[in-house]
Amino acid sequence: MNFVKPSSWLFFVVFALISLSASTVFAHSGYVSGRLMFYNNQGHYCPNTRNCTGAKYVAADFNKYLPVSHARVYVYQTGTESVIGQGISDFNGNFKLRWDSPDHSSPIYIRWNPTHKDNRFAIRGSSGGQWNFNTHTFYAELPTTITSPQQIGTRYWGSSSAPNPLTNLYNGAWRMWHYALSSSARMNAHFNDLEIRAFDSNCGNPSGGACAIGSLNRVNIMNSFSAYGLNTILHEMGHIASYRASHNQNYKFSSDYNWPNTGDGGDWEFNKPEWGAAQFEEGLATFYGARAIYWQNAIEPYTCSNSLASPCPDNLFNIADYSGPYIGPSSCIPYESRFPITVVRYLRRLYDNNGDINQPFYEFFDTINDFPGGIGNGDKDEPFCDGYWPWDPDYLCDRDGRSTRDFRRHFEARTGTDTTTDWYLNCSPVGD
Amino acid sequence: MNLNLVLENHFGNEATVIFATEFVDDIGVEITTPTIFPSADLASDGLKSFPLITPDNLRDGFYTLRVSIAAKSGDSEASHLLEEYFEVDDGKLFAVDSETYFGQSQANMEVIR
Repeated sequence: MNFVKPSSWLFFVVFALISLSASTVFAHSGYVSGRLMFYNNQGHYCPNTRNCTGAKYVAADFNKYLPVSHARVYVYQTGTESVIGQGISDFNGNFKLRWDSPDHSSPIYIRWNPTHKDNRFAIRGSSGGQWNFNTHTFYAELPTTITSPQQIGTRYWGSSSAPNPLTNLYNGAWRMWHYALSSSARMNAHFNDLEIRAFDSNCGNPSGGACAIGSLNRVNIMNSFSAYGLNTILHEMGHIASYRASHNQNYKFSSDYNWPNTGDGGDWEFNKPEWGAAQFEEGLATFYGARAIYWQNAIEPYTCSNSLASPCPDNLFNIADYSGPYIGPSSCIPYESRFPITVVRYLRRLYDNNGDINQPFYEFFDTINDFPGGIGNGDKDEPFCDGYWPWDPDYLCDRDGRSTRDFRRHFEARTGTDTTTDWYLNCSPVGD
Repeated sequence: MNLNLVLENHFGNEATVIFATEFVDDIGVEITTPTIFPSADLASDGLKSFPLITPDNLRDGFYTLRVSIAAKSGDSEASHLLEEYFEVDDGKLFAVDSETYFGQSQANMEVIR
């Protein structure tokens, strides 16, 4: 028995030394809290001149500091430039982070990345690199606790004379996720890791401001001005949502615009004729995006593609109106049945609860999922010819395939609704 | 540096355009007084070029030229907000891309209010 005691004692000493060593490595720890805000310069808010019931982005939000919501936030140590703490900002831009560091003498700083807390999306550089937003350095205070953290107050990025387009773009993407896509279980399951490159001109469309590439799970924002036109990022994320809801269709929707031409890139307008497949996809992406600003009870929901930091003009476009945009429901102008705006308005009527069809937002993703796989009528890859396999003969082409008409059929089957009135009020969008 | 702002009319009809310029450094300090240029007419499907000049004697650092453009043709309107980025290094002015500007300037640094 006497033999055992020295061994136990030795073991205890070794263990104690290890413990001492570990506590020496992390000699200091504490908590720091604060708030992150950016100068908001995004247009397309609901202006005071309109009824903004149901609007989630209004004039009072414009040209002021708003929270950096749900971003990844870090504590960095100068010298080693190493991460010593991490967490997220909340809805109001507030954060509280624990840090652990062997070195209390070096200043620290807060860094946030324009990456959504749950990695739904991230704003990246033109080659996919990380954008960093740093505070100035400061010294960590001790002692601090989770209930009594070091408070560094509110920190700001951008100003009225120099708004930062990247922070504005982050907020636009956050709005799309928070106010629109997150209400769909299908999006919660399938909309992840979107890379939004800013700024990247690789869209093959020199006059456009942005594009979405479903197969790469990527959106390219071409110029800073597109970052201030909120509808741009909402619309492009709408394309990604369509692609994800459609369980990744093969159809490559970017080559047949500007009806009746073929082979033109993705230059389109709300009130110009398009092939049925392009008309539907652009209208659907816009409809998805509009929900980030205007919820179901909105009285005057608008969308537009102008990129100045201002509201949509009064004549472009109230999506709660019937089509056509200029003349009225009883007199559709030539080719108005091919206008993307007619699709936006038709879909909005199915969603609106102001005496319209009043279906939940998630149904519009689940209906896209209902398109069967295949290239037949009503299937998800119906416009099979669209540049994806260029050697395929033209007789397989149906540029009016995967149309609003197909959506209507699947939507009515899914929801048990009859949308005939809404269909005719919007010039009966093309398709088979 | 002499620059040309080239506007192309896509309305399909004659249009009127007006624009304003601002020149600020990377933390938003105004370098020149914002300027509103006189309105101009653009022929249908026409191009028009407007000369712009960056300020002289800039200190080393990063700068932004912001151009706000509004155009109208009949009932149709269009607008753009254009930003171009510059660096002055050792007294010489260069145009730089957004990656360089936001990666190397103070634009992504917090501002002191």
